[in-house]
Amino acid sequence: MSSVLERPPAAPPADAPPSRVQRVVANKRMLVVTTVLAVLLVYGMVTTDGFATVDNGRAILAAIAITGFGALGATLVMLGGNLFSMSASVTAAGAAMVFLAALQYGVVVALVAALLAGAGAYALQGFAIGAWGANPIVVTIGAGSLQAAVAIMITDGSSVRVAPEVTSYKFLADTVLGIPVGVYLLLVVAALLHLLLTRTVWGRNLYFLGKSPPAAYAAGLPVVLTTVIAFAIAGACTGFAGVVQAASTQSATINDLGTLTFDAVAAAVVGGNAIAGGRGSIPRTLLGVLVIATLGDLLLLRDYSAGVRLLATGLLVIVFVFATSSKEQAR
Amino acid sequence: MIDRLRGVQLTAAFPYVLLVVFALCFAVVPPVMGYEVSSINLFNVGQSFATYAPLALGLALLMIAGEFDLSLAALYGLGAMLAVKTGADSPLTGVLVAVAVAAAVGLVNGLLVTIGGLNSVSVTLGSYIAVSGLLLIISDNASVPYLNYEVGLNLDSVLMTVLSRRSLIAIALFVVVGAVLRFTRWGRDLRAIGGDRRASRVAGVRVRRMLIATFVVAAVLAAVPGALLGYSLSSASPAYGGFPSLVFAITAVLIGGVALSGGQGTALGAAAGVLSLALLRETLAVVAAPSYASDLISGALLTAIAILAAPHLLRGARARRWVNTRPQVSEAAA
Repeated sequence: MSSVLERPPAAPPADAPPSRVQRVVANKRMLVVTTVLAVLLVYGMVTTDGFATVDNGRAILAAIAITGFGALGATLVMLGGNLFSMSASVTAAGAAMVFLAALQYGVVVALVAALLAGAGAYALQGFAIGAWGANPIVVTIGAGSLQAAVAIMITDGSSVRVAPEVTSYKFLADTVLGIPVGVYLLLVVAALLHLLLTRTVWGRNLYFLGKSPPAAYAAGLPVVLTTVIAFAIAGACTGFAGVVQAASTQSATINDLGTLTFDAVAAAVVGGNAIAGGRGSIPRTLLGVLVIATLGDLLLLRDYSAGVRLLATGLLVIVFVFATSSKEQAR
Repeated sequence: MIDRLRGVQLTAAFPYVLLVVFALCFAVVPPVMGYEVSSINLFNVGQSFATYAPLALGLALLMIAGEFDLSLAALYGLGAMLAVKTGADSPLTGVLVAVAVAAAVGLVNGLLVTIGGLNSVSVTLGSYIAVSGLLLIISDNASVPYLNYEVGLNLDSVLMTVLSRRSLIAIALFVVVGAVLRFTRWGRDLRAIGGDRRASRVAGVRVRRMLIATFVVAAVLAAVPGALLGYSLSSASPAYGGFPSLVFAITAVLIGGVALSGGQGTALGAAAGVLSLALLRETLAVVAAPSYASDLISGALLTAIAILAAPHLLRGARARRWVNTRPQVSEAAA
């Protein structure tokens, strides 16, 4: 005799999960798109003078630190199903300003202050989005506009500079073995984030939440906390982008890093992370950052203007949004 | 953005109440602070309206249909640049070129969202970036002068003390689109698509065709005021459009009573939203407020309204965690 309260009989064991290859083939759009892109990039590399040199390799790596930190932040926002933040540029620039202003108290204090500023700004937005279900695009546009105005109000529109006698931060702009310190930091942070996403309950929850918010709610996951933490870490990563920028330019205004918002999302999308959330990883993001940086470098070597780079980035985003959107979303 | 749940419901009168409040501020605050308000300030409000209103109207149409288009802000700048570059001899040609290019971009956006089944925010982020790139390429990253000054003077000459040809064009666009939205089947279908897409499809609405058309119309409505602004300022810069105009348009549309969740909104409400913001800007300009004041207030307004419209705002903290009907942000294209 069975009661409705009893557990239903266990489901028969599912077939073995699809192998990595099967999953890739199943996602044909992605395969086609990545193949075409790879062919184009290789063609560009082979036919462009000065591409296959050590110096150029360093130039590409030098370009990835700032976009890379932005892309890490964008990935966390995206994974949780919150699309993307439209205020990344402003937050990074704000963190850069905080960093430079706080350098007089030492580089550690300045770094912590900058990261906290970024984390705090994002966490507040993450709360509105996660707890109240506010629209992420509109909230981040509004909050970005607000942050920019506050920054201009505080600084009176002038740029924040650091006193020339302060040199404690200079190591951030150094190179080791020809590669900027920022790139090493990016790799360290990326590795940490990868561990957090794959080895912690929070990481599991974030994937789950991005994949199916109703299921996450039904399962009783701490949805609000998960979202707020994801935004806070994303904000800290975005702040890190600002710090790396500030260390090399030694001055900051709120309009610096104007294209970071786009570059970051573009890199995360081109890496193959699903813009709708739930699918993606940090290694993919790093791959996307590398692709965007290589593309930018190729176009630069071939004497194309910044406009062409932006146009190509935009088209890439559209193509990859198409490639990563799953069937069930399509009508 | 198709939520079944709604946040704080703005009453239908909200946009107009807000407009009256901003109008009172405009009439009262400057004199109290020792500044004078004259008809030229009202003219300026009309000019602001002319500059941003059609852009906001296009965005409103898409939001009523439950979609969104970030690229409108870039198309606005592109409209100015194309008109200034190609309209040296005949201003009408310039506007037509701007309209044609914008319509093509709108068509691509619409096709990707409908046929491709993609999320409109994500797709149009891509087209926003791409169009910004196109704008830089066309302008060679420098502002371009428009030497046919007559056109700008003609567009901006004062008519009936507070209007200009440019603001009359914006008003005319509102009247036409508003009438279509209010009185025709097209308007009813658009609201149906935004309110409940599946039901409207079952009821026989040609959803895809309507959405594609709306993307095209919205793109054109963004490019036209851009083109006219280029003539009015006798120059076009790649910096036109972009983020500030996007913030203005979204804020205006939301305080104008157009719901982010789709299905709700009127052209008149959107017009009231634009007028409210235009009055706010002029008030701040009259009292010589610092430049950031306007961004500060509109940013705060936009954030506040986004939170007010959030579907779970009124839920208890406990319920929020457990209830299983949170709308999927990714569902906008579904």
